[in-house]
Amino acid sequence: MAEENKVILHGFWPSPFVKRVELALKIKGIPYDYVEEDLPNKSSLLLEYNPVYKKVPVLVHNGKPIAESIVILEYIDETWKNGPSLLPEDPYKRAEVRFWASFLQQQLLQRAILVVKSDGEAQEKAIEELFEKLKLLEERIMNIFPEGTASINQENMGLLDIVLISCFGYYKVLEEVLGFKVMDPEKTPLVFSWLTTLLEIPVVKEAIPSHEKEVLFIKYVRQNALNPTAV
Amino acid sequence: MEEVTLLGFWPSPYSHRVIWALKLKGVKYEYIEEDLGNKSDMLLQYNPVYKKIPVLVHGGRPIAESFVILQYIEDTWPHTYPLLPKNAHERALARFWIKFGEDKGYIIFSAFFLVSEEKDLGDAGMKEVLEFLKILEEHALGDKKFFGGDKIGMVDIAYGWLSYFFKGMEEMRGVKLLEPSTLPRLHAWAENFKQVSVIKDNLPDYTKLLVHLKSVREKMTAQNPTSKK
Repeated sequence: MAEENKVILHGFWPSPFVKRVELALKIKGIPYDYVEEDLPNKSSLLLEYNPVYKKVPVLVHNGKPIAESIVILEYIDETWKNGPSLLPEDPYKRAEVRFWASFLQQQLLQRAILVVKSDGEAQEKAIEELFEKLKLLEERIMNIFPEGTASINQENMGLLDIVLISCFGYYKVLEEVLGFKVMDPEKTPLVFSWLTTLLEIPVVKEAIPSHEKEVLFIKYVRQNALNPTAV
Repeated sequence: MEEVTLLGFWPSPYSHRVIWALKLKGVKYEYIEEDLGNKSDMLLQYNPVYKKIPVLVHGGRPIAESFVILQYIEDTWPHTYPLLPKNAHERALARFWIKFGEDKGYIIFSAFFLVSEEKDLGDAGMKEVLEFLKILEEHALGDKKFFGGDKIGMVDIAYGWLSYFFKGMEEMRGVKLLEPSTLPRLHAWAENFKQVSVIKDNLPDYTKLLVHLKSVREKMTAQNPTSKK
């Protein structure tokens, strides 16, 4: 009886990909055990559960592992019917969620990471592209949320909200480390207000790590990328 | 019955994924060939974010990105020919392998289209491609006939390029990676996949495809004169 529905999440506290899974589990009220992985020193369990990528997050449900954050989110949604749905019922709306989740991931998060890890001309190019893509998202938000984003709460938030939080929930950390605004209410007011509405939700607030801890981590990532030998 | 239209491009494997899925499901659709050098207003209107094919239009509403389209087709026409397994864990595995292919796409693309000199199998890029194929064979396919089991499914469709288009890429580059001696199970899969009637009847002409692939490579390597040797 105790082994039924045993859920374990292998994670790494600053990972945006792990954060997505944590949020999904919390929103749906699914009890789980958490295993913090030391990434330079991965556990043999992790390597066994995710031999292809050797990465976190990995969700283990009744002994069966699932890897890749969006794949895990869809699995959670299909397996636990209690709590809010992470994806809408309507196939077209589901397609829109999947499309924009992929956009947030491939176009925005990847470029934000590049901005953190580069300097000089390379960074300038990455910044330009990041803002170009943010602008694209801003222009399309009324298609995604025809009723606006002000009424999003713990009971109706979904996969796309989770992905946005994981990508930019720590925007103040980025701004402190980089020295410029990433989420500007003047440039992208609709994206900004969507994000800040989400960050007020209690379950989200609780899941975001401390600002100071994140700043140290992002500084370390940047330092490491720019001066690989000086660690 | 709402109208279904597919905006595609004849040599594109992504375009073919959608064709194969629609045909397997028995969904009638209108096909519109896009000239990618001269994109139609319709394409730009239906996919303003990426301006790419394939785009599926159903009842006037567009869906872009082939993996998103495949899942839309599965969600919309669930009662004929399931493309994904019933079991949630197996569905997660199917999605995982499709994502894996998408993630590693750049390895394939750069090894075949961005390197301007003929190289033997010692080339680092080709080594990575071979490694990717070995992982697929060992972990995704295993001893099954198809990725989907006894019948083809969404994973097979997603890797369909490997069964037919890849041969053209190999010939263009003068390499042989997918051979019965190096990848016996994956090679057998490729042969079996091409024989499935829906697939066999919906493949581009090989000679034309080869000409097209060569011209893509010429264009890409001309744009990247500093590509690695």
